[in-house]
Amino acid sequence: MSAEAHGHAAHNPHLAHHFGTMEQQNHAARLGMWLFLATEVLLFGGLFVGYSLYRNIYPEAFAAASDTLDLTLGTINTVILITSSFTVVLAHYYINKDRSKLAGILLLVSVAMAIAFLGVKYFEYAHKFEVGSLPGKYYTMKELQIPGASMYFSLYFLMTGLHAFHVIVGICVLTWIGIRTLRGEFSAAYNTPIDLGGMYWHLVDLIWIFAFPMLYLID
Amino acid sequence: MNDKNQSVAYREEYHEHHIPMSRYVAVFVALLVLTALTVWTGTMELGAASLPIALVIATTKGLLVALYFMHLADAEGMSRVTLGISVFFVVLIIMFVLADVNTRFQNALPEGSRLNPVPAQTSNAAPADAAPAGN
Repeated sequence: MSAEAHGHAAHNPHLAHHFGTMEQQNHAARLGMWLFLATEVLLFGGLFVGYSLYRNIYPEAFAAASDTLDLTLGTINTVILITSSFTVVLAHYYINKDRSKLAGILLLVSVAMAIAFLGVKYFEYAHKFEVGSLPGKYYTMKELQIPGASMYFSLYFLMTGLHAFHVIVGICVLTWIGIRTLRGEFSAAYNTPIDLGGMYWHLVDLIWIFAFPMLYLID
Repeated sequence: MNDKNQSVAYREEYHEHHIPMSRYVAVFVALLVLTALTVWTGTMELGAASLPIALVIATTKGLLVALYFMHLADAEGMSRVTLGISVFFVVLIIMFVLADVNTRFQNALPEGSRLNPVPAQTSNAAPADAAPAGN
């Protein structure tokens, strides 16, 4: 058998029988994850198309509506998300050094930051319900009554809402993987769930990196 | 280890285990600096230049996350192109949608928008080029 050429990997109990080597299995897992993430980009892409269309025809309304957001809270959330991405990548680094306790703690720290992100988002949403900067017919903000303003908030809630849903999924995934890591289920020899769960979390970060200037920083 | 004699999957795995911690720290610091930069430039009232600047900074940050946090820089084979292809098609559809809307007959667009502003005085105030005679 060809597996003999990579004898050290052939004995890995996590190697499925239809793969020749552990490296090949990891490569296939990662390719599958990339394909899934490509569909995620297309999912958010639809909202980015709608955003481009309406910002193009309502530039003043989008700028004025964007001014009503709290830039400080948005910036804090950006930093929280980037930091959580960093701790996830550190977990991946340390599991490859067989430091599973540290890796598990880093994953759960990332979960705590993801929850903090949603907490900040809650205050932002609550304020919008208070002043009536809501989508469609629920838009009741008196200070800003120009065509296109309610469309901005429709897109704001759709984009941040779909993103927040992904943050919730990410919290579930990272908690599950973090607990399994603390239990010592992963090691340098096998850590595919940390690898792929981490990629998902980085994509959530990546989407926010684009959504943040698009929603909060319109002149 | 001679890369040429190894499989795509092996090379990917080999690179993975030799990434120094300093690379991740450098990317993290760069992301924080770029976040500060985009907030700074975004509040400077740069007019028409602000959108391109924001997009360039966001794309740079996105590339840093994809290449180093998601390990795209060390990927081999088809994994390298999937993200790029989906982003390409999103950019393509945005360009076609904008080309469509910006070249439409004025009255086909919502009144009060940039491309169909509400007339100042009378309904005959529409520009001549937007409503050709005999149409």
